Amino acid sequence: MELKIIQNDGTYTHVALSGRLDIDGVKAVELEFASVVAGKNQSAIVDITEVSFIASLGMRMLLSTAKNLRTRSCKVVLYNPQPVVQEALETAGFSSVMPIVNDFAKALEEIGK
Amino acid sequence: MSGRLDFTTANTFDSVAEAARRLETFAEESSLPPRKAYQLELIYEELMTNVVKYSYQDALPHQIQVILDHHDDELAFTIIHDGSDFNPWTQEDPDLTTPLEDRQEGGIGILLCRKFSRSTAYERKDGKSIITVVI
Repeated sequence: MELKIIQNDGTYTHVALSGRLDIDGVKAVELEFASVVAGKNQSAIVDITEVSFIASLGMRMLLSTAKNLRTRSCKVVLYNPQPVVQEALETAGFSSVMPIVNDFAKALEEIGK
Repeated sequence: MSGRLDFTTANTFDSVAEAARRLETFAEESSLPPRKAYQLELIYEELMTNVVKYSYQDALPHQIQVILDHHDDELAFTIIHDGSDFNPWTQEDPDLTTPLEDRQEGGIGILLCRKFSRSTAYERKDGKSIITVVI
């Protein structure tokens, strides 16, 4: 499991996760994820193109970071999930708490950029 | 396609995570469609982490048995453990309509298991809990 920081300055954060967000994967990235994504008072685009698996542990990681940013009126946008990952996120009711988009322009729009 | 996988793992997150690789290999070797493989791996992780977290009141090592039976397009997944008598399927689903700031972080796992399976069951027999899911 890897967290790649694409952009961490400017007006929004942009990171990419890759690998399996399972028990081991969450353990490997959760601290860094929380500190990078919720570290600034700005919204974040999380590219999950390369995430092949997520279960509730991984969802919890995304949810708590989004909640944290929400207290500062900022958002987390999930970008480009694989179909099976998207189905899991939607089944867990994620689409009503954080935008899930497949188009980068839309992701920018969601965070007002 | 048909096949069977039967193994035990210790009641620790590390051991459960390591044993997940056996399921991944099984899914590959059985050529499970990606969606089915995903559901199986998700249900494994949700149920096993639940058992490890909540089923043991002592600090002793325990063994959890995992059985997977694959016949045609049906997968029967069973967990047998000697922890407490708790039926995970009686847990109430979290409210998925609450806004982000109030959204519960727990309970999502069992909800996903339920939605991704055809049927679920729980039985307590000879001091052991048997949790079954048909995918």
